Amino acid sequence: MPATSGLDDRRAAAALVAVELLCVLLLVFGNRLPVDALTGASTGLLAPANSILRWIESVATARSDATRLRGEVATLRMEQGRLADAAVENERLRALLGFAERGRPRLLPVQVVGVSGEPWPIVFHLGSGSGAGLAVGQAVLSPEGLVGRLTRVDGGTASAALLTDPNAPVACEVVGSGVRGVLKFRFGSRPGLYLTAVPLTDTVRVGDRLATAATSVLYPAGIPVGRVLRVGREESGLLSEIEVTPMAPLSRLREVLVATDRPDSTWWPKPKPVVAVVDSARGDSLASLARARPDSARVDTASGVR
Amino acid sequence: MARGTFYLLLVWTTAGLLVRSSAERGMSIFGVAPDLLTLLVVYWALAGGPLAGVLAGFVVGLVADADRGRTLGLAAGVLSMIGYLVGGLGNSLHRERPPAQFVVLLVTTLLVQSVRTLFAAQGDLAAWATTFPVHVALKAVYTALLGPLFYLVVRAAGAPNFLGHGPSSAES
Repeated sequence: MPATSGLDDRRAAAALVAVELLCVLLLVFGNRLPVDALTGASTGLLAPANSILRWIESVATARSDATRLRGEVATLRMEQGRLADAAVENERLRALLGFAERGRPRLLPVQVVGVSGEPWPIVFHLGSGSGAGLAVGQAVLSPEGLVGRLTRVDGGTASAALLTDPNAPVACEVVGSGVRGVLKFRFGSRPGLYLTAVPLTDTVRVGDRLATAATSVLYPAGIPVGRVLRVGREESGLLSEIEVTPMAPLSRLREVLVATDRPDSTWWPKPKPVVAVVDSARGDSLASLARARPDSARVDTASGVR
Repeated sequence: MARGTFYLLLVWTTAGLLVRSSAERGMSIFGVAPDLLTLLVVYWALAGGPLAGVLAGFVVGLVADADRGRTLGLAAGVLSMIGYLVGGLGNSLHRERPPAQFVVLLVTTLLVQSVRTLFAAQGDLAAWATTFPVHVALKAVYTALLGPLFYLVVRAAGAPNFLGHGPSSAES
């Protein structure tokens, strides 16, 4: 390697100054650039090679997978028979009670071709796009539970913000007790997922399961999200500090399921718009009252979409 | 920079970016993954000098920023600075020796990861301090061990000594 001359040093210094200035400009004004297009280009460029790597990996593990899957198929067949009996009974009971039949979204399996985020993974890059029926806002799931939601989609690729993205909170409720809160990734002395906005008066126990809230406007209701790991008290003393571990193994997922169809309103109930009914005695309206009390389910609408 | 070295580093960079986006988690040990971006930039800078280091840092960092979809310019700025500093040091180091590479990688990864985690923690020093042992210190040690190991494997596979001093290195 030739020795670096003084001229080369000056050129390198000039290049560094130019590059640093450009980086500062990008940091300040980068949000005005089509970052989605850049992300799409980066993912698109790497996707074919990633697919080949995945294919080689899947061939290498195919034999052990086949053995394991044969066992799982046998177990699932037995389970299917049991569930078929339960479905018949459920249908009969629902008819008896006059409940509407619940629809289900179509789940499309999609390959994870890339992961980004430091120090925790916060974005999955997916190997399918709008051509396969994906659209921004659709829920991303794994067999274990919720993974996140799509925030960018182009023709052949997409990106999903994970539960660990601090900018993508999820309205959740505790299964059984119905205690509602907002699941957020939070830094602090113990970085992790926390169910926030839960008053101390609401009882939440370690081991309780969380699912997406029926009032969520972004996610279908009832998707398993996580399990309560620790319950404490926030510094304010008014709210519970509830640490949650996600159901989905976010660091190990290679395929995810995207809920592509918009399910019917019984599976994904929407809150009805508040009708402005004027209270003649007080002179105000229920609508203004509703605006003054923020609903936890609205939080994911406000800041969940990037 | 010799043509052979340039192509070798280009292949190294492409492979590194691919591995980073697809299999970095698979390389993690007890949840600690190596910082492949810093590793790539350090070797570019050691082999090509400060100008190559700046340009490699900018390009690799920009790819990482675009991949992440936010704070465009952060990784590019930090890595190009690292490329410049390491490139400037390259001639006064026994850079072909793995211990020297270990020290350079350890220090640079500590710097890069400190900045990135500080940004990720939105400036919260207490939160940053809790992430430091695993996400900065252990990551730096892992990267510093991995770099010289790769270098030795590449050399053992018959690649030219692209970090050697003098005109005879990497002319193939």
